[in-house]
Amino acid sequence: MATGIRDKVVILGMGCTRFGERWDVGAEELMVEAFTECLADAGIEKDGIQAAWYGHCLEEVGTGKSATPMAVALRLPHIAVTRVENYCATGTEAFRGAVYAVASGAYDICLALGVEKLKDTGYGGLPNPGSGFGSLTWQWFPNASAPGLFAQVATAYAARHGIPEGDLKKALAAVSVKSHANGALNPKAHLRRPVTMEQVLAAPIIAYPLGLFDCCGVSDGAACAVVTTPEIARSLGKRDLVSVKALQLSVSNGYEGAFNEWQGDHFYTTSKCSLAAYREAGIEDPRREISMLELHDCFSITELVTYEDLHISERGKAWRDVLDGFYNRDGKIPAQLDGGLKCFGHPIGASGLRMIYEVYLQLLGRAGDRQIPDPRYGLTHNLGGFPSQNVCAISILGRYDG
Amino acid sequence: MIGITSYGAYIPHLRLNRAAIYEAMGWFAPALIMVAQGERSFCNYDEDSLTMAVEAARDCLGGIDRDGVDGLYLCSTTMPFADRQNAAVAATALNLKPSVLTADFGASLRAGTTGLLAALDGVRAGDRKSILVTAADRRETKPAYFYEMWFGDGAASVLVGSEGVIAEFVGSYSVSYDFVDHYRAADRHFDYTWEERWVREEGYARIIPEAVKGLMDKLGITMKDVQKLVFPCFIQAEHRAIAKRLGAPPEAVVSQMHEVCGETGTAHPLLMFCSALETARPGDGILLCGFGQGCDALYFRVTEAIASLGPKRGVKGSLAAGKTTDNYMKFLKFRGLISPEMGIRAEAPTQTALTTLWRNRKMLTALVGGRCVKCGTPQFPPQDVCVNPACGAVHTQEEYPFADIPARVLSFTGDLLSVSVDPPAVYGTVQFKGGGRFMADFTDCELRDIKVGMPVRMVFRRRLTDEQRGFAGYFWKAAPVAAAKGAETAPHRIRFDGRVALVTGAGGGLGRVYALELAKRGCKVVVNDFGGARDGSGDGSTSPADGVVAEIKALGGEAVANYDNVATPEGGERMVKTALDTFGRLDILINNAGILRDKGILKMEPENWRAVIDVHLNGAYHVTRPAFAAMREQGYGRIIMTTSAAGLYGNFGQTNYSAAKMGLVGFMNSLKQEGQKYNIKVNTIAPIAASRLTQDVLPPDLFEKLKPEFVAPIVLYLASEECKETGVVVNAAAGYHSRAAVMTGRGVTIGDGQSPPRVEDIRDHWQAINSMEGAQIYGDMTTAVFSFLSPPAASPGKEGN
Repeated sequence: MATGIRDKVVILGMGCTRFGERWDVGAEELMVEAFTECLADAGIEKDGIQAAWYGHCLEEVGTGKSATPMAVALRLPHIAVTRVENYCATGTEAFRGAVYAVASGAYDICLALGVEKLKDTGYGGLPNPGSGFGSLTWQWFPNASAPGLFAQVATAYAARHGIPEGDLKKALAAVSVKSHANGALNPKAHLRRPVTMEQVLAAPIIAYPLGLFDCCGVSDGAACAVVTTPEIARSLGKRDLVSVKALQLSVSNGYEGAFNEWQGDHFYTTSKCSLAAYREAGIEDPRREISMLELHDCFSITELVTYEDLHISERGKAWRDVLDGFYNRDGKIPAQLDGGLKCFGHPIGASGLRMIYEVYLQLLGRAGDRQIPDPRYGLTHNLGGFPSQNVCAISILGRYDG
Repeated sequence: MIGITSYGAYIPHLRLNRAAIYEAMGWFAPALIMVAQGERSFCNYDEDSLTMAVEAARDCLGGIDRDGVDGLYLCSTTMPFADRQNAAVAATALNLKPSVLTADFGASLRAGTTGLLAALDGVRAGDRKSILVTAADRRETKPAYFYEMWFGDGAASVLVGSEGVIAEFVGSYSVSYDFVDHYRAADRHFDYTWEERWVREEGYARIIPEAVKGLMDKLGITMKDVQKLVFPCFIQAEHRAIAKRLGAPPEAVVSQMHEVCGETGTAHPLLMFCSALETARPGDGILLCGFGQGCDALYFRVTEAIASLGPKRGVKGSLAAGKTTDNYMKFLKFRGLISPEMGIRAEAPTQTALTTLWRNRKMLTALVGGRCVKCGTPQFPPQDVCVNPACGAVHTQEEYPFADIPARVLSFTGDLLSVSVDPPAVYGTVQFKGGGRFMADFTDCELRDIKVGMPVRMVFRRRLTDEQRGFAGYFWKAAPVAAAKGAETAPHRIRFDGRVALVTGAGGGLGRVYALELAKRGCKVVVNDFGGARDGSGDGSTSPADGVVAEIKALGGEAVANYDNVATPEGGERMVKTALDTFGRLDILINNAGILRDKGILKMEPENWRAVIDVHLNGAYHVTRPAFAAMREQGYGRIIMTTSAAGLYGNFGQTNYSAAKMGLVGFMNSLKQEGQKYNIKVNTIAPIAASRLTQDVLPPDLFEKLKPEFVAPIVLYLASEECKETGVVVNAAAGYHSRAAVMTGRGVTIGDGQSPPRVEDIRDHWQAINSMEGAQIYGDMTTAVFSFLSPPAASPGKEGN
């Protein structure tokens, strides 16, 4: 009988680059930047790592296929290295691989690293795959962009819950204003300027009804973690430990897009995945027990609806919670304390690990100006793909109390 | 009996206002003004001849068992593929059975009728029971060209068979000549065209009558046996002339839809044929000609079965829907005639895997999904494992065609980031009635048209163009269920439903545009034109008035021609009688007829003076008097006089014309009072427009800017119920509007009014007498005189109306 991942693995150390338009470096240099910080934090040498997971999504604009680019960039000592890719959950998938390897007892210390170098395409936004989207899909699926795919949630959500367009736009704007306020405090964030409601509401439309400030940026970055067992961490002299409480994944099977039930107004995978994660972590009342959220705010509407899919806000009521400041830094459950995808941008392979990095800092009391008092559980969430067909990953981390 | 068993038509959603071509390119090709009236249809960026052919065929096959179709002939000179049978693509899109004979007919605009003849031959031979003929053309021309004005895009389909024949095929006669009115080499995109006059006279006007005569001799019929004469000739005047020469009465000549669609090439004879069938009655004879390197002439006799044919969109439905745009640049972009920067994002790979297309041809080309035979769930795309989470059965899917199932919008967006020829890219999830959904592109709509829950229908469209490899990929898109054009009949839109207008001199220029615009808004129109020369000479002609009546009828409007001369009292009486006899009332009179005889005063012989006064001033009197009687009777009327800047302000060499024009202002001033209590409003327009009267009066560059279309709106407003004004003169030219009025200075009273002033007093007060400071307008003579005799402490600029 499976017992779940709770408290079997802890984080020994983490690293995260400054995110942004890193014209100065490529993916290889970004990996070294994150890895160097991580090794110093973990207090181990490179030789201590026994296996590694490499998260990298868009190989065509990045480092190419396979795990060799990371092994070469970091000069890893001919150990097991595996490349994983699962849309925007790629970074979390690398983490999951390393954590499961340690939990299985196969290895003592493993590395998870995610990187993406997006600013080598020559244009803004994510790359357009064209016929590279799949030989059948290319022939019928709309030539959609990420903003357009997610914007549909907004039109469906507003229609389903009878929310006037202006009210929804305001709630979405509040989501972004809150994240920018947090990102302004984070030296590693890409966008570090606070924005006002007026600015957000006046921004040009990208994909109706989403405007510029409803969309996260596109940037370059890397983040990584070294994980081990609580016992080994203690033996290496670590006192406060951040433990993995839950790692869950839910992947669409076409139900949303092709069956007749889903209303297009939320993320079916997230609503399932979050329940599994709470069960694994032993959380009974997330609205009361969770201390902070690092959500996949690729678009403001994604974050808004996710509050409901995490069963924290009531269905159709998240927009009110947002306007009430429930998720602000001084609110009941702060979300996107580091600034989120909104301010970090979204180097796909790195994002999941970047979220875990913020939870890790907060749980250890190392988050500086952003530090919240006495966090207990932090939840990270990735949503890859698009609303009707996606990959949802949820991690819950907390202090190791063993 | 063999013949036509069904028909269908497709005219694209988009129409370009022809004036927009002139507005953009008139500087380059001023002569375009001659043909810059009405609108032409054009393909959306995702349409081509193949998609239009499929849409027309879908209309034709509505309610018909597709397995009964044994052949599909696709006729077009603008097929997307030179070697990949276009008919086979269409047959797949229509989900016809595999054992169908398919063939492409092209290389001549006559291919539509030739394909139809081949189908008739095939059915008569007996091997095939039912053959679908679908013709389409997306007519390509370079920009700023007469042909760009004349041509349109469209498609028409007919089903040929022997059961349920609605129009029996009686016989045909064809002639073939290598008459090269235009040609297009195999590697060229545009036609090369020879002189239009020759094409008209030696081509259309000789070859069509030859084929018609051959057919009539062969069948032993005469024009008396022809209730509907269908033949294409994109030059309106020649079309009328040929019909006349063939002895066809005007009511038998089927409209070319020039005003609302344009000439659709291969499809056009069949499109006109479909429009003929829409109004045909059992027993009607239809003579159909296709022209191009010769002529096919076919004769059909409509049967009783036409009454039981199911409802169709047809030509009428196509024309009633749609959207008219003035965006000429969009037209150019959609046709690939300009290449704006699409950005690096557009450089994504575009190769289509033909193996994948073949395996999934039903899904991709025919929009066939699956339905699980175990749980009954329809699903798209079709997959081996049922999508219903409560079922999940494997290999239980049967074919389930989604193309004709109504759907609704579940979610949508308008995406400005993704690459699109017509941004924003509008797409969203559509939910089909009875189950099944997928994310689809939307087309023939704007973002603001789309709402969650609104009904959509699926249409066959070009989904991708691979420029690098010359490939076109097709799929299905969602289009809002066509709201009829009339849907803009919002309460705020000014309409003339139930109203009857008489427009004098309506055979051309301003009068014609007034008549057309009134008709477009529901007005019944008496189109008067004497058909004389510009100076009023000649015995008159019926063709200008007839032409405009035909244009109005092509728009679906009601109109009647009148050829009387306004210069006689009897002429005016008869015009009004035409309105009352035909439509039962007369609500609107637009006194527009005019002639010119410009001369310096010394050369202005009495005859020249009188002719101009007779038409303009006396003419208005001759028509207005009987019209006023009718309006007074019904307690409603709108009368428009036409004055001129020449009269209001003066123009060298136009003393006769100026006198007449200012005379009309006086006429109005008094008539407005007589009409007051009968709700008869009388107003005057001073138009400056490009017309026959002004073509050598105005400088050419000014002439270009002054289209009659700019004057029509103010005239229509003054003619509408909403107009409460009376006695107003309005200047109108190229968008400029101003009121002109007789202003009266504040004046001065010299002396005590008891004794007359001295001449010297006048001299001494000249400045005050001449001053227009504080000038005002008087609404009638009494007010004016009263004001003069007791001048108030005038407040400057106040109107005394």
